[in-house]
Amino acid sequence: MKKKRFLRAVRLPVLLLAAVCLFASFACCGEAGDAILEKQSVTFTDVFDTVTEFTVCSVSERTFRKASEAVHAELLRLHSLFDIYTAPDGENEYATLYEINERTYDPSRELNPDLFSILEKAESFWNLSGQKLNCAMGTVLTLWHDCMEGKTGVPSAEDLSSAAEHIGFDSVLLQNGKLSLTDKSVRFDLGAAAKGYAAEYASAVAKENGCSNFALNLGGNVLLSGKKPSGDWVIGIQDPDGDGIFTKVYVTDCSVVTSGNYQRCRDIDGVRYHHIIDPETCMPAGRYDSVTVICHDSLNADMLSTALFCMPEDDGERLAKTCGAEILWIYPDGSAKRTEGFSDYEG
Amino acid sequence: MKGKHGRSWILLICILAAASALFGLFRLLRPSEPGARVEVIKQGERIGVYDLSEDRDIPVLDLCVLSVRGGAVSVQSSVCPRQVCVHHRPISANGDTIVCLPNNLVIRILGGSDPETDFIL
Repeated sequence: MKKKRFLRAVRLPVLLLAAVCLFASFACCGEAGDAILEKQSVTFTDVFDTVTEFTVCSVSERTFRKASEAVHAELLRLHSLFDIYTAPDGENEYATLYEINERTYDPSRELNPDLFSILEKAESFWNLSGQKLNCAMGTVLTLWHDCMEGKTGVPSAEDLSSAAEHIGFDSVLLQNGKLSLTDKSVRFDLGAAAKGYAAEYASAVAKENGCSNFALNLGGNVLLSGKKPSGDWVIGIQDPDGDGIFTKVYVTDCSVVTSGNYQRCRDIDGVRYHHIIDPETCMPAGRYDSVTVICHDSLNADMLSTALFCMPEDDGERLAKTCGAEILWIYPDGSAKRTEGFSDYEG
Repeated sequence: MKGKHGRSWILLICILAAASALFGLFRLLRPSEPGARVEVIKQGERIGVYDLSEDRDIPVLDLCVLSVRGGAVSVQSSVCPRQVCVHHRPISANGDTIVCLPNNLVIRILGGSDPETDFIL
């Protein structure tokens, strides 16, 4: 009798406890790879001569793995098309930029559609920016590239002026998917556009593979999609003079790109030379220490940051407005200027 | 009847109390959230994570030596030709990186002095 009463007494709590345990086991376990993780990240070092980081929030490990493989493949494909330093492996259906620059390209052949598209966009931005963004100045940029790599000293004025005779899109004709040159010495360098273009395409691949909240950082060209579980993405803009952060921006669904004289630079005889070359002077541009662009289109953000680095603020502000971009200029004396909407991102 | 239900509730409360005590114990025994660390990545693979709470020198393979001083990391020496990584300023904020492309190395701060920041440009 006593035993029966006891059993009846404990029935309710035991049932409740069993239910709690069952719920907990469902919540904690699950097949490996299916659990949704807050943040996952992968790094690639074999594309666009820089470090690329792909970070995805709120997806399963399985989705992340599949998406990162697809994103990497897309970046490798575009890298091989736009790379001017390495000959492509084997026979390709379309010509790459290396073949165009090396003149091993048959002008009767069609360009790869991505290569044609980026060259067309670079040409129209060359016009829009008053020729301050010049992807057809490979002759000049090669001299500076060799200097930055430590292979040569500072290019001589003679070398620069003879290289400058073959720059710009005046002698370039892009038509019906084909490219022809009236000046056979013109060389292309997509350093100011390739990463932005690739970020847009890789982002589309990430979305096709089930990612909506992610960041793709191609060596300082950052494309941000959606949000983190804790809110907007937070990008620190380096103080060009010190060790700290100059400001922070809180962003979503846009690209942030900074061009700075502290990136890819070399000190020679006490003078700092950096990689952003003004097409007018063929020398490193000296107006600003850094220019940061926030823009919805990653390619425009990339091209704008280089163009604005070589332009006075007023011209730059007009160009930024045309592209719907917000800008932060940081001057060598540590002061800064912002477009009206930039401060809205600064939290 | 009343007494029977009373005992049942007392038992339920006891069991819940024991369960929450156990839960609390597990939380306590779980390792606490780590502080600032530096992550070293070689060819996309993480090869080491080191705590930044004490000053020390960390050799990375035969490629370079990292120096940890006051929660900041710099590259003390490296076998790479241009020494770009060695000339890089010390890093301490979350997400900040030093890159050595010739050695295919990325040195990145995790959970550093500014944990909300994702990237530094």
